[in-house]
Amino acid sequence: MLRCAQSTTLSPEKCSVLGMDIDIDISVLERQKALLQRVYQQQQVQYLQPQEANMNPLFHQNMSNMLLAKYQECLDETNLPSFPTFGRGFACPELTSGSHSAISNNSSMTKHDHQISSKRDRTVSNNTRKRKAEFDVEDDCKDKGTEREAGEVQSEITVKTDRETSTNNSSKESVQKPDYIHVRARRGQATDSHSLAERARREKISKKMKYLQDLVPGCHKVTGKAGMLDEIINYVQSLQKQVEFLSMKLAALNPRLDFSIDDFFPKEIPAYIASFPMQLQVPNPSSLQYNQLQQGAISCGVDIAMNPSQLLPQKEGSSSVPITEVYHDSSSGHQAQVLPTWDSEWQNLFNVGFH
Amino acid sequence: MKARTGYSTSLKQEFLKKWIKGIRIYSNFKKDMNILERKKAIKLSADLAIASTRNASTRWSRTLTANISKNETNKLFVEQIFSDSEVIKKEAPSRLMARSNRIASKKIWRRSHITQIKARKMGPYAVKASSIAKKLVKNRTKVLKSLVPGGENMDGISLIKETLDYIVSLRVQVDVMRRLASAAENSTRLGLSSKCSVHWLQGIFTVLDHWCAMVH
Repeated sequence: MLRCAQSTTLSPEKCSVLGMDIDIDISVLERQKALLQRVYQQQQVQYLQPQEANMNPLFHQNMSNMLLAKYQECLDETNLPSFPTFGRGFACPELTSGSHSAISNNSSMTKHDHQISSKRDRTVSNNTRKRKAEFDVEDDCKDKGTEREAGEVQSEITVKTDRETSTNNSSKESVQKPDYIHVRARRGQATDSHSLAERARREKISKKMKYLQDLVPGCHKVTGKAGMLDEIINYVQSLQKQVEFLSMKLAALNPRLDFSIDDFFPKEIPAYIASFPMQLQVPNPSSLQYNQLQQGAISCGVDIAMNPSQLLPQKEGSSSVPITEVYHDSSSGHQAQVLPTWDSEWQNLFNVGFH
Repeated sequence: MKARTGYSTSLKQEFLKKWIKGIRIYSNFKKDMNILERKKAIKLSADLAIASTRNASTRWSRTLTANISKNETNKLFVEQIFSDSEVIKKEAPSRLMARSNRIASKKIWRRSHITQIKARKMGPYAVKASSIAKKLVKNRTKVLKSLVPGGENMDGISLIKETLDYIVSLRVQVDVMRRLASAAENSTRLGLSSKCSVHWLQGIFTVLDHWCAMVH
């Protein structure tokens, strides 16, 4: 309550929520336990398949909304919204420790927590395409989940269950409810809200730096931010220079820039050709016609090449190995000459077949 | 580990396809280029291709595409390659300025305030050491921001995230280009035509894939 009075940024309903949480933490927990049990029994009666995850759809929805909000927050990496919550979290450590023991008895909730968090992890990872960011988000949220007081979780659930029972489609609204990051202060460290925020930020940065250490070669020996940043800068600069140099080299080696996308994925063509026996009698078009077809068939080529690229990792590789062996053995040119014409025939057929 | 190699090879293949497509469009666009123009075409298509593999989900890819599209002659080229609208416009400049000003003023306040607090808490020498360290880090982050495209107005955490992603993409780019260059070089050395060299390159890809699949 004191904190509420001090901060001017908090809105009245937030303030009341905080006050309620401080004062009636334990009673809320008891109420919540009873509510859960009641709802659980209800659901068991209503839904005749008591599966683990579907046991409590209402509860599930609450948890998922809350976790969704928390994961969104992890994804967005917004700065901590309200500083007084830290003070609140630490003003009553005894309360929360009490709530911890109370919660540990309630095993079903934690089980849901893990299941739902794993589900959310998967959906989150499907959405984000960045590989490292996937690790980041999962690690961040898992760490936050372990650090977070269970008491806060419980109290937020009570607020949410009350809301959910009143309105049906409040899933979107509960997502917008602001979340608080709860960080436990270590022994001998300041509990000032600013320093806590800074510490959380620094931990995030150090975690990301660890990933960078794995990625950048030669970064293991260096410790400290400045040295690692130096290594990273050197690495990025070297990579960019390599791109420049290689593009220059390719330009020098290839006077005509005559790359063709069909050249890269020719292997799966026989499968498609086999399905078009009628077109085998088509006469060979001239080179000019071939180029025109080539231009129009780029999109077809890309589509077809898409499938080969998916098939490639699963292929046995027996057909590819002979080709490489041919190239390794061939010091004479005639074997190599056979294959390009063979390939150009394939390309003609393939182009005609897909027009 | 297997998932990782599968992901990187699919990324490489995607990059290669888009790159080749870009080069073809460019070469049809403009015949008979000299070596510098060819190099520019290659580099441009490579940058566009690697940026488009991210589907505009990262800041650097958006900035890279936007920078390339700034040039008028390239704009048509870009639009031709990416008929589906992956190119997202950057934020309006006014908003960007306001944001950077806000960040700058906040930093100034923070710097003055925190040094005061630290001078009171620690001894004078400790303050100096930490401030030197901070200055070093600050300078280097400035350099990193200039290197990573679109890194100017990002804070530390997102900068590192973007750097991670950018490094991964650069590695893919360099890897594919190097393989192509070595294949082309070997083909000229052995006297084969360019098409065969490309087959050889493809062979390298598949052999490496299967080796990786066997190892993991």
